[in-house]
Amino acid sequence: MIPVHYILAALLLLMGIYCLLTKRDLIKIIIGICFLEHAVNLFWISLGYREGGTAPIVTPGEVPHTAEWAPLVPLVDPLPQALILTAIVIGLGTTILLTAIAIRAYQHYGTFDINKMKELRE
Amino acid sequence: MTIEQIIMHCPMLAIVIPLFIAAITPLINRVSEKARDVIVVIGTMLTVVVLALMTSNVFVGGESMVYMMGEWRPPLGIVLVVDSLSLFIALIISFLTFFAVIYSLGHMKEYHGLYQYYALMMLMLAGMNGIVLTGDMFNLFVFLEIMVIASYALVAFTIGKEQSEAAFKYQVISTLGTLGVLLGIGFLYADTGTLNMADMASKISAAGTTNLILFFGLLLFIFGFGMKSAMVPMHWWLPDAYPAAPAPIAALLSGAAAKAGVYALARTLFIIYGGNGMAHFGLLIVLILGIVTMIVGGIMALVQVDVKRMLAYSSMGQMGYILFGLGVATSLGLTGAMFHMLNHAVAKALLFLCVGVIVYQLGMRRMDKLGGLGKKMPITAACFLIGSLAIAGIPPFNGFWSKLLLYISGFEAGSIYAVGSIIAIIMSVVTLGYLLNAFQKIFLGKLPEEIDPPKDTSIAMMLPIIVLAILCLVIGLFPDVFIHLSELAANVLISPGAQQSYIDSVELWRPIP
Repeated sequence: MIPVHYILAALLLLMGIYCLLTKRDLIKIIIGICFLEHAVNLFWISLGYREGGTAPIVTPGEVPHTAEWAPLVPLVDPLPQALILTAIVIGLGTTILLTAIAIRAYQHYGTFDINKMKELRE
Repeated sequence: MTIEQIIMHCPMLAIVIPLFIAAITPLINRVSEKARDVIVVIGTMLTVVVLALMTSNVFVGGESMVYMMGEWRPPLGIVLVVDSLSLFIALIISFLTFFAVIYSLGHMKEYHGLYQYYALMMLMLAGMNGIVLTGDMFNLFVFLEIMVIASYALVAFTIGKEQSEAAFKYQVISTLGTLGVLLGIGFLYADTGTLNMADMASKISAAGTTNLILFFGLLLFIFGFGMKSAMVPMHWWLPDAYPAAPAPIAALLSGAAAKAGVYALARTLFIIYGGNGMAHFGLLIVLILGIVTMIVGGIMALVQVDVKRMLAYSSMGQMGYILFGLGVATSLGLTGAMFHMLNHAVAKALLFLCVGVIVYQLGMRRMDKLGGLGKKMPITAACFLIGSLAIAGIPPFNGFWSKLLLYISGFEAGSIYAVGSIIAIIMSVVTLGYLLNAFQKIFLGKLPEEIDPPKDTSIAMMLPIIVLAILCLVIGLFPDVFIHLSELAANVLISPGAQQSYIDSVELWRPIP
């Protein structure tokens, strides 16, 4: 069975793509990009999730383990969480820069509507 | 510290030096603007030197240098892997950035806030060097983001009407690409449970060709890296972003950043997927899209009136040649692709910088309003002509040899590849046509009256142009050594047992079973 968070991630992804394809407003496009970013982040976090898993900290006595320290209870995979922290920070930077450029475009054109920005069309 | 110890740390230094310069540039700027310029030039020069120090080990000695970050053994920690391919492309990138920085000293001096400009440029250099030197997939994603975020800001640097629109478009499309790469890495991680490229390669070799997860990963990589290397369905940011960017940045984007994208694509297809039959399918996609890119780029360049826009489409066409060589996937085809990367980087950067001189002097880019500049700016005109002939593949200039290698490789491989070669030859004629047309419109004919008679400009701007023009000629006259280097780079991807030797060179640590 596919866990529900994968379906959620796919749904978010589709919503983001739909938003990018249909919306003609700079701010809405930025929101669409955010949707996509969070969809990918959610997908990554889901990769590390284990049913009933605990934090992967193995200390003697607290977590049942074999003689070689291999734990007997399911542990969540910490690597995706560490990576996605990085990706979230990158996403934040991207969004801020995108918003800043959108504001500059608004100052030049007086609108957020990309249909009315015709500088690049000859 | 002996020289061997320094060389051992060179892979890391090639990334850390530009990052460090990027951090201190705004601080130095508070003391003195002269000092800032000097520091930036010295920083890029040091990066080139650091990379050049490794040539004896990598090109001559034939070993690949593996640098373990923080002494963590490979599948656990991040490694930098420097083999002939990485070093070849890193050298192209760093040399080009060096020229672009010197050119910027003249070209950008009328703008304020230049410390941001130089800091971003160094950040972009660090990102590009990181992409080509790293041996870890997530690390590659992070460097890719460093590169593209710096380039968004650089495209938008002179933030006028045009720049704000182009930068927004560029960033939205580019973010889609990088998210595709991140998702692709997620698929690979889900299947292999590792992020190290060598470890992934060995696990994907064993995975079999019917694995859907890996297949979607492959498609996402082609999508994401194809976006960076101007492949056709994902190309429409490029003709807006290149003209909007300042000339040195356009030269860097076309000459270096697109090469980093092609490098990542080649690394994925030949090394990570190298032992798996899926790679053939991926290469076929790259081949077909490469041919289409060639055609679209060439034909669109014909009808442009804006000279920078024309060069942007021309870049696309030439990236098509490189992708075609990648798709042919024979030793000769890849050698041609590598050599063409070098030649395109030199010649297209030269053209963008020449156009930069005109924009700097006259502030206009429309070819129909220009004319007769050849008498007033003889050096620029001569260099533009050399660049045009080099790109179009006319002997004795460098483009001739790489295009020849690409044609022959296509004919040798036969069937669809031969058709590609024929198209490539036709598009080469088209390339010559639009570039000479541009030359004729800009530099020959009568000088329009409303134009102030300009002249060749300051030494900082002319020096990189002249050096690049001489390089075009030198590579064209003595191609042997450069073809040999390209062959070494291509061997990393295609020679028998190339993938296995890459995996062996990283020396993966396995826990005792």
